[in-house]
Amino acid sequence: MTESAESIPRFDPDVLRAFISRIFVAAGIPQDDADLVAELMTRSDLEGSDTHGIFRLKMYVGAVLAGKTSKIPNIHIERESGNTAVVHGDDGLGHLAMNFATKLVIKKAKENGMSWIGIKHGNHAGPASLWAKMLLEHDMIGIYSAVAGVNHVAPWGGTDLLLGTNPIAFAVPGLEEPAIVLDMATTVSSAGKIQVKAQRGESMPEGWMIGNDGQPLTDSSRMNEGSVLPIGGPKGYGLALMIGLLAGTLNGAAFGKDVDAFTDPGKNAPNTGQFIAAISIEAFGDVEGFKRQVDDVIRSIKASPLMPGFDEIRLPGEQSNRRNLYRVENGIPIHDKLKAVLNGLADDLKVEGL
Amino acid sequence: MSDVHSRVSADELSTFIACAFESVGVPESDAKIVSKIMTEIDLLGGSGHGVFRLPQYIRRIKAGGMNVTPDIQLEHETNSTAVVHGDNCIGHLAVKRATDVAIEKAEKMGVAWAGVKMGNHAGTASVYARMALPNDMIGIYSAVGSANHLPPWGGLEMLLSTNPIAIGVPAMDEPPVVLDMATTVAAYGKVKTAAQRGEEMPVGWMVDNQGQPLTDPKRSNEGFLIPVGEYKGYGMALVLGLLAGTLNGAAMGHDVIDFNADDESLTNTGQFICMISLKAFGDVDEFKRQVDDLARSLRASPTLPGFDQVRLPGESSQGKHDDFSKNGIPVHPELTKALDVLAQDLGITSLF
Repeated sequence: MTESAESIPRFDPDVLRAFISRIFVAAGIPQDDADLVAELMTRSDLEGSDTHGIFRLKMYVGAVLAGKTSKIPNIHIERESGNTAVVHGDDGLGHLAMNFATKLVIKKAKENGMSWIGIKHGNHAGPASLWAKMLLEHDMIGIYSAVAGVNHVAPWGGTDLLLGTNPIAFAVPGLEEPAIVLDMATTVSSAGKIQVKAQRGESMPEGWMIGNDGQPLTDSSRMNEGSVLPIGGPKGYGLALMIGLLAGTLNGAAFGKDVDAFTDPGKNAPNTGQFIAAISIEAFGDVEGFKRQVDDVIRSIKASPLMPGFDEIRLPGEQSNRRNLYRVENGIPIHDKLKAVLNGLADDLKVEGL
Repeated sequence: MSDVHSRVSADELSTFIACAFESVGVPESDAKIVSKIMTEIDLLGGSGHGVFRLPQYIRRIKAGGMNVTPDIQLEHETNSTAVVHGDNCIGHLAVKRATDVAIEKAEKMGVAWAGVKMGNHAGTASVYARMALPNDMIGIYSAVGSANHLPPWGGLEMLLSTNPIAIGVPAMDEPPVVLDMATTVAAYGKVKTAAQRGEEMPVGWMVDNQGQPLTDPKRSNEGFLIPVGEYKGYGMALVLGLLAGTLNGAAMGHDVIDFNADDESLTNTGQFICMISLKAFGDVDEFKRQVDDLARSLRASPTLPGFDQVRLPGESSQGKHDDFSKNGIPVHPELTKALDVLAQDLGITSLF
């Protein structure tokens, strides 16, 4: 569906940014931090990550008000080597620890050719691509991954939900062509997509979920009676496992049975883990030469003859790039239901609504 | 199995491979490095990538398509990165060099990344990722595959390879967790096996050039392998190709030569290896204990109907390694024949 065909009310990004910020401030977050997180969340919405931007505001604020998320976290480096660090997020808003880690990874990669920073005691920090993309303007390749906050995935052949849909993002700059930005969950469908289906009363296609009886599960209202299927079966299971070890266990963050549903109030802070890695292109050769090669690869892919049923070949990140261009111009669509939730939040905190 | 496969000890196999390489002019020290890695691949059960490839490697060397006296150099180097120029060497030599460099740099810095250009086919991905394990490191390896089998999602032109990725993570008492996967649902090997046995392929392995499911393995040359998660696997193959190929100045996309069909052209194969030192991130033993815990909790999961157990990546390779080290490496009768022919051609003692 092209975005212009949707008839959903649109909001100016500046309006959303200001709204998110005043909500956070009313919940006790310092102004600078509130502004920063508001900016990052709005950027996620601009790029089309509709379930990872302002959609999450109520959940974030709920965790702050419940005392699960620290208002004034002491984000610090817990361990450091020449080109690595473990950043302790002190259970603050996830974007803050990630922002700290991203600055650090850029500095260390500039000095050393590459760098890898892990995060512990972080929180949900928006879409994976948001962070990987931050390295592009520094002529670096970005890799980001996270342990998902809820376990929706069973190990291949099993039924215990011990794994998340653990996403991974890569960002690679081109010269004239837009950057290649892959942002994928290691499952066929994200949990969010299934929740949307459930909300709309639609069934899922076969291949998204499997029931504990081993049969395809297509009734989206029965989402919690089975496992979200990993891509390529055992392969996606392996990837989700490896990402969890790298983004979680390696940093002393939660993974496996330790992952608490961060949407569940009344529990402790989730100790979310992430990692961000930066590869400085100049360490490997001529930066412009590399970007030109990336352009070549992009153009040869775009020029491939099409399979019947396709009207174009897309590069990873192309769609979100288009969304961004459109939304900067025309505003960010906010469903009435979401708007009502957000205005309810504003009422509770006694600040001006949307 | 054992009545149809002859078994050979790792030492015998390694000696045979080294002799074969030396007979075509590979220096003894290089022949030793390559034969050790190829044997390790067979010990781990990577049967399509170990000694199975020996006749092809020798054919390429004889055709002048691989340099037996390469000058392998570090072309670019920083504190934590390097690009190894393989000088068109036997692929294993350049990747081994990159692996050694990455381990050394990661030991000092915490993490390191070494790329290869002007390399060649180097065997399985996991054999290199596993080299991290005795050093208390996590290893990540990827390569541009040596032939393009994959169109971009929605396209018909085979511009990408099924670029594999391997990640090796050490544990304490449990076997290491080692993932080694191609970015397609099924490997070509599986399609060939189905054809041999006259079996249908399940829907989801391949599509024909009209985008329809292709289930007759005999028609595999009319279609394409499906990437894992469709556009996701395509995205992974693309990004891994950029990291293992383009970043190092190695071939990627339409520059990739079909290594199986062409013995002469320079392949300029690219790979990368990334090493992450556990101690840079915390207590090494504690980490390994956590991996054990996780492995045990996964294995303890109740199973779906049709499964007798939950497995961890690398578990079956480890089992084979234990078995084959003790009882010898099984060699398929067809391969035994091919190796006998090779031994005769080269004038070396045959394997059996």
